[in-house]
Amino acid sequence: MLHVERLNGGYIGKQVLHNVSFEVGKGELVGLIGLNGAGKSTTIKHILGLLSPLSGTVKIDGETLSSSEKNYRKKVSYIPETPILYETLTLREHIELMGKAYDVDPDDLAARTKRLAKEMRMEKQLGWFPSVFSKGMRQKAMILCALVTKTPLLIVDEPFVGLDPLAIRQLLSLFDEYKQDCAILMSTHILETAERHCDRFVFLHQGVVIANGTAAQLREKYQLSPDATLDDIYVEAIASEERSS
Amino acid sequence: MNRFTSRLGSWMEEVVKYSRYVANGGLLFTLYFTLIYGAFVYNNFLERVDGAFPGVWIAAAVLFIMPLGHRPRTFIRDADQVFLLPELGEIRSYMIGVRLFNIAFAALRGLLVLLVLLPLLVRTESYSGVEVLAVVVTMLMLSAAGRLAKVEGVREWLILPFAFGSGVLLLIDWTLWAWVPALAPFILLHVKRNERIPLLHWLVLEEKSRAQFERVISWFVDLPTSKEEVRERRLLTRLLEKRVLRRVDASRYVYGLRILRSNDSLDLILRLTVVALIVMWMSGGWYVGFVTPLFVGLTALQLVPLFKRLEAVSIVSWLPVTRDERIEGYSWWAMRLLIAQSTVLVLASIAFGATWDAAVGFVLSITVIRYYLGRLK
Repeated sequence: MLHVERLNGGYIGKQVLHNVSFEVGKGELVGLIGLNGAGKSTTIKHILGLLSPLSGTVKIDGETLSSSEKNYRKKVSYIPETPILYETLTLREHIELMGKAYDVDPDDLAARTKRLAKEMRMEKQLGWFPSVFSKGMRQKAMILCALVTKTPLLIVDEPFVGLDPLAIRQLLSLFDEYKQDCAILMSTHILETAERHCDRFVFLHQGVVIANGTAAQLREKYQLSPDATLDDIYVEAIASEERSS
Repeated sequence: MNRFTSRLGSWMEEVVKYSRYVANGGLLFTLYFTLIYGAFVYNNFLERVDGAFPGVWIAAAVLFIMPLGHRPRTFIRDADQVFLLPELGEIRSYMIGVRLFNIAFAALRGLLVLLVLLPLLVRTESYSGVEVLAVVVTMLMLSAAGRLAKVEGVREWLILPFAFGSGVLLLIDWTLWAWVPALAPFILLHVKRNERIPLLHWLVLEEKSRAQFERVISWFVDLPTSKEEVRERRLLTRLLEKRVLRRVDASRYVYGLRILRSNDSLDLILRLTVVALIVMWMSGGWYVGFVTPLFVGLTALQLVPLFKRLEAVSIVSWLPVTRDERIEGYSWWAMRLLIAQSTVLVLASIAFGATWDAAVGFVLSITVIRYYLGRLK
């Protein structure tokens, strides 16, 4: 579903990503793991087309941003780390906007909104303006807006920030359901949760992919015992990378 | 240097910096022209006005609204919620500084109003020098009381009965004593004054005041980060929802709602239309039709930076809505609103005596609208 190939990119005058390549297939939830400043958010911005790559390609379902911006963007929805909402629109109007932007059938949109709002305990807040939302509610609103679109690819940047334990559990079960027909790329620092829910992991360190695979494959790569957690694997991956450089 | 004077210093630096940008912008000349034109029209009006004109009623009404609509500055910052906490009970000089600054600012606002009001009053009423002084003092006191009420967290409407009292004294020709009711709110404000800095309240005041400052500056310079004020407007939204919003695309939907609810768009158009109507009413010459393109131009000019601000922090950056579609969506609304404003003003100009100049004014307005909306790209 998502193909990132030899991606070099970053900001003006500062290259952050170096030959980043990985894939996310249909039915997969892939964890993008890395230290602060490893290049996770930059990778996501390149996939979303918010930054232009120096070289390399990003394809979603065979479509690139340059071939058709509109078709490309219709295939991806995004949950940012920091919620961005229009202060002048209620949550219901945000959802309506998403429906119009992604051409979601109005009846489907209404049904999905009803179900998701109930599951995320946000039914009461549908008519509210974001100015009265708590931090967690703002995050839930962003999640709701992204999930109603049902795009082939969902990109999630640190989704658990500000969420209560019940909401985190609910969100993970929604992700499990969402990925059945779609693909999810999730950047997170909460490795324990990632280990339980992600099918594969992409380890990013200083803008380079240092490891990519399932937990079992990564244990094998770093010669760790079968009971080694993702935490252990990650620490070993970073240590091994720093030893070799 | 204490904390207040250092913050006042940085505020003044900021004002000077922005004044320089404003002075270099094209809108300043439009504003100069509007002010000169306004002064010319007002002067013509004053020459025609006589003792029968209800100048004192207007003065009483102005006194009544003088305590309202203030946006005091407190210079409190977000970080103060953490770093100022240990000093809250001790920085009395900061509180005094804030109060004095706001009194001075309120007095300045009162003086600006008096610049317009006094020439009218001295033409319609036979006031002595002392009576004029009493009106000036009353105006300044009520303005300061309204602003201080906000600073101390006292509801503004508590000041209104005193303002009403001053207005009544003006109407019954006890002008000399009009300042007495205006003095009373200060006793109330003294009793209810804050002993410690009400941090959150002052932070909210500062944010609102800063937002207003940035809004004015954004007329001249692009300030993408400035905040907007939201008004729900439930009835209008419902009407628009049924007739328009349900059918339009994503960009027209989002800009429709933002224009409808933001203080910077629909309110701006209404405010400038009212000012244009007043200018037309006071001028009444052959040039009345030219007020239309002047004010439509002023409105259009301010709607352009608003679009850039709406774009700056926007979900649509990653949605399947291209920039061209967004510009088209915004122009769609702006064009309709500006044409509606032009139509209202052209009809009003005809009612105020315009003839051929109304048609010329309309054509000029359309040209101005097309020019400014072309600048969105």
